Parts: sequence; structure tokens; C-alpha cells
Amino acid sequence: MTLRVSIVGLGKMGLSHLAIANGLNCFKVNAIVDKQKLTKHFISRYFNVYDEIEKLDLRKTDAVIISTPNFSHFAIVKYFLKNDIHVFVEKPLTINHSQSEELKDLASQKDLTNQVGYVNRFNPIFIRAKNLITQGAIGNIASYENMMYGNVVSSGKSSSWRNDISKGGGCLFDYGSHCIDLCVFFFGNIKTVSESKLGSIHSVSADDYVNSNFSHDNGVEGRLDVNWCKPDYRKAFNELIIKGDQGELRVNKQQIKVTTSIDSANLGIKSGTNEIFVTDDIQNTEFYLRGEDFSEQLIEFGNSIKGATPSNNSADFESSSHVDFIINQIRSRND
Amino acid sequence: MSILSSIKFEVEMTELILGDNQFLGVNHRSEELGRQNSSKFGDKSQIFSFLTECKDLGISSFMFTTHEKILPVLEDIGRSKQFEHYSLYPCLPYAHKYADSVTENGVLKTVTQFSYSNLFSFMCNGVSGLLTGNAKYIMKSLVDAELEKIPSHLLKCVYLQNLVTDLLLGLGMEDLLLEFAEHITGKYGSEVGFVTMNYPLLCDRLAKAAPNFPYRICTNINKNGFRMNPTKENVLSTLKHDSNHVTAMSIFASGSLQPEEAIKFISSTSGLDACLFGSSQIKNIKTNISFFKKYLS
Repeated sequence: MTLRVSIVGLGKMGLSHLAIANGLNCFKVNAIVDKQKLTKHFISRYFNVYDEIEKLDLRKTDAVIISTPNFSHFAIVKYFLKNDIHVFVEKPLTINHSQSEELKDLASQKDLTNQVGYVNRFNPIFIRAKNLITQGAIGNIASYENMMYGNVVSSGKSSSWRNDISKGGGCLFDYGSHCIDLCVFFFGNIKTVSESKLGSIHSVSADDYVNSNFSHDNGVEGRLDVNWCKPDYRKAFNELIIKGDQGELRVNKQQIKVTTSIDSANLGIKSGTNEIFVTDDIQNTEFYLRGEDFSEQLIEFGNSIKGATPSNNSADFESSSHVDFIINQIRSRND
Repeated sequence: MSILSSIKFEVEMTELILGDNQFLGVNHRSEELGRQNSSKFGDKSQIFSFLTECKDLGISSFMFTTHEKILPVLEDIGRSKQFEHYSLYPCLPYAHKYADSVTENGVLKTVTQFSYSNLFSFMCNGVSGLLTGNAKYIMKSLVDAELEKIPSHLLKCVYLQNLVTDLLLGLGMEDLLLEFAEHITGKYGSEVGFVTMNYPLLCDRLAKAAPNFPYRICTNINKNGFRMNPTKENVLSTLKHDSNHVTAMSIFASGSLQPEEAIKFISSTSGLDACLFGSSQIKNIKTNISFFKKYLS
């Protein structure tokens, strides 16, 4: 069965999702919704393009992939859920936790597939790291640091919505949501948020860095450090340093370094220092654009609609609503 | 003359090509190692010396992205007598500068920002392209701006970078791939190539869009099957029957293969015409060349 999917929003992420979905056998892209005139000229030779979601023929749409500016997610997701369409939406789910809760309840009530683009959950190295710590590779987990740095904003001149907090811009909604989701993916829900600090370096109306401390339901303590104004980072770099009572595990998108006193053939680790690289776990994909994880998350979305049991990796509206709750907490506790 | 063609082995592969990852701090296995390497090549004279040493070892071809760190070195190469038989393989565009800029400034500002050095041509092609929504004109303007600083007499083949090739492939815009090819061959008289992570799909689509159209391919080929999509078997079987010029990249599967086993595999793979690799250490380059000599002979 080929799923008829429409792409809503054709910025950088939307274009990427369009190309991947169109390159995968399980989807047939039947329409695109985007307001920009330039986009319409460019793309209308290849696809049906509409400027409003209401113009889409919902009888010909099984699912949508939404990559519009963050502030618009709520209304758009709600429209499609109400019309019984399966939804994949870019992160964060919404910019307001109460709106995310409403969408979570609606998706559950309608029994529709709902997924948020927390792509790190499909990275084989992050999955391997999660399995290692869950299965005791460094003993009982005590604490962690989660850092994400990049060079997204280098001046205050930008007019993009990404640099306007009222539209869901800023590094907390962008880098921060990815990091918080990864904390939740690894350690479960967060109970309390403390010592939060948000600030601007270049942006005029958005945050460029975030620090915060987390205490999880299971007692693990964590520290978040995010900054997207670091010129020495060629691209986004996200690393977690996790401390257990038997050792330490460092993980970024490419590699894991485990230093432990535990020897476990099952886990594939020896007492001492172990290094695991992304290239050690070969995972080819049907159509590759910018990383296997970007393709795999859409394949998972398609499979879920077709009735496959979702893997433990996928970020549904429930876990993503929790991320939005934490984002709201950080902002309200910013001293 | 390349090291292998000079030795005249009874093999299909004829050319070793140096890549630029070590100069730019790109390491797919470890970002930390990548950053360390990048600091080793802080100025253009260090990159120029490294290219000279590799050339003296017999690697007379260089494939590179149009990164601001590489472009000044190319001007020196273009002027140098000792590089007069050298081959340059630019790979367009250097994607990160566009991706970051599109995120921060939007498409329109990005197009204008990166075409400023070629203003007249941009005014003629780019603006009319924007007004009519014609992507082909925009593409040509960006290509011309990218190639402006590359010595034309050393230009052998212009490649389209995999992010753009695979984006257009995914979008079903093979006509733009062909338009790029016609622009390169028509205006610059060089060959045209595509870097891709979806080699079998690209071959299939291009064969349907333009049968008998000649182009080069550069794609991942390695013993581990790393980023050989959709499967290693599918890629190797396409390679066997492909009459186009194919260059293998990621032959060490981003450092997870030992050089000898990697080169042994590549040397026994049929259908390959060239091999792209790099290293931040000259001693590694020498070792790799010795393995090629051993297994190709």
C-alpha cells in the first residue's frame, strides 16, 4: 500500500522531507502547501502546490508532514487531526505545553499515527548508547551533562522567524528541544527544572544560549548546556557525558566512548576504555539524503500508519508534549 | 600523470584522487579528530605543501569542495609550473554555507549573497530567474559564481555535490541535473559528474531521462557496505554493468577499515575507474599507494 502524503511548509526541513518521502517507496507525494510565491513557481512544475491547507483534497490524503514555523504547528496539526489525517510534525510539537496536551489528547482519541521529528532517536549510535546505559554498562546512572553547540547565528541582522521568540524561534526551541528530547529518551521524564538561564549573544529577539539543571523521575540529575553562536563548530555538535557508579559514557552522533569497570560479552564491552563508532553499525537505507536517521524516521512513520507496532525510538505527541512542558518550565524559571 | 597509469598495470582503475576532508576538519568517524586535523592546515601554504608532496608521490588529481579555505590554494596551483599537468575536480556547491544561510536569511538573500562576486552575470541570469521562478537560471548563476576562482585550464570534471544531487533526485527533478550537465559541458568544456549516496537509483533515473548521456559518478564503495544505499549488493551489481566513469569514495568506510583490507577490496572490485581518498598524514598516503601497487599488480 502506498500512502498519499502531503508536505506542509517548504523551508529547509520541508524540502528535505519532501525529497526523502518522494524517494521512498511507501509514500506518494500528492501535494504541497506553501505560501511563498517563489516556492510555488519553483516547484509547481513537479507537484501540485496550494497556498492554504484548506485547499488540499483531504479525500486524497492519508498523511501530512508539517514543517512550518514553530508557532503555527498547533493550528495546522489540529486541523489535520480533526480531519482524520495521520501527522508527522517537525519539532517542537508546539510552543506552548497546554496546546501540545490538547493535540496529544486529540491524536489519542482519534487513534491516529502521531510523530514529532526528533531525529536523534533514529541515530544508531544514540540508540546503542541508550541500550548500553539501560543494561548497566556503567552501573547505576548518577548524573549527566548534555551539550549542544553550533554556528547558526553569527549576527543580529537575521529577519528569520528562527530568531524571533514570539514565533517559536531561539535556540531553546531549536537546539534545546532536541537536547531535552534526548534527555527524556535516555533517562525518562523530568521531574524538576532548576537554575535555568537563557540569554542572547547576537539575536535581538531570541535566546542564543540556555543552561538548566534537571532532576528526572528516576533520580538521575542532569545539566543542559546549549549555545548556537559558537563560530568554531562547522555544524551542530551534540554530546552527552553520562556518569555511573561503575564508569562513564560519552556519546555524540558519531561515537561512543565507554570507560567502565564492567566486563560484559553480552554488551560487547570490556573493563577499561571502549570506543564504538557510527561506522561500526552499518545501517543502509532505501533512499539517503542527509543521514540514515532522517530517512528511517519517515519509514517508521509510514510503517506505523500501515499498522506496524512503532519501535521504542519514535517520539510521539505524548513524549513531545513533555519536552514542551520542560521548555515552558525553563523559560518561566529563567533567573 | 597518475601513479597507476604510469605503472601500466593490467587493471581497469587508472587514477588516484586526493580528497579535501583533512583540510576542512571533516571526519565522519569522529568530529573531534576532524577538528584536530583542521588546525594542522591552518593556512594555505600548509595545504599547498601537502598537495605538492602528494603530487610528487604520483597523485596528480584533487577533488575538493569550494570552501573558502581551499579557493586561495587553487589560485596558487593555477599559477604554479609544477602543477601544469594537474587535474582539478571541483565539487559544487559547498553545501554548509548555503544551508546555514538559507536557515538564517532565506533563499532570496542567499542567492544574492553568494553571487555578489559575479554581479553582472547574476543580474542577467539570477534576477530574471527569480522573477520567473526559473530554477535553471538561478542554478547557472550559482555555478558560475562558484567556478569563478578555479583555474579553468586544470578543470577536468565538475561534480555536483551529493546533497544537491540526491535532493534533486528525491524531488524527481532529473531535468535540473541534466541542465547542470549541459551548462558545465557547454560553458566550461569539462566533463560533468555527480556525487551520490543513491547510485543505483541515480543511474536508473538518468538512463530513463537521457539515455546515452555521458557523466561521471562518485559514490561510496567499501568492503563494509558503509553508506552504499540501498544495499551493498545492489551498488556492486549496478557498478558491474555501468559504462560511465565511476570513482569510489569512503573506501575506508570512514576509518572503520584497515587500509590494507580496504584497498584489497577496492582493487578487486570490477567496474571502478578511479579512487578518491585522503589523510592528514603523508606517511599514510605513501602506505596507501603501496597497497594499491601491491593489489592492483
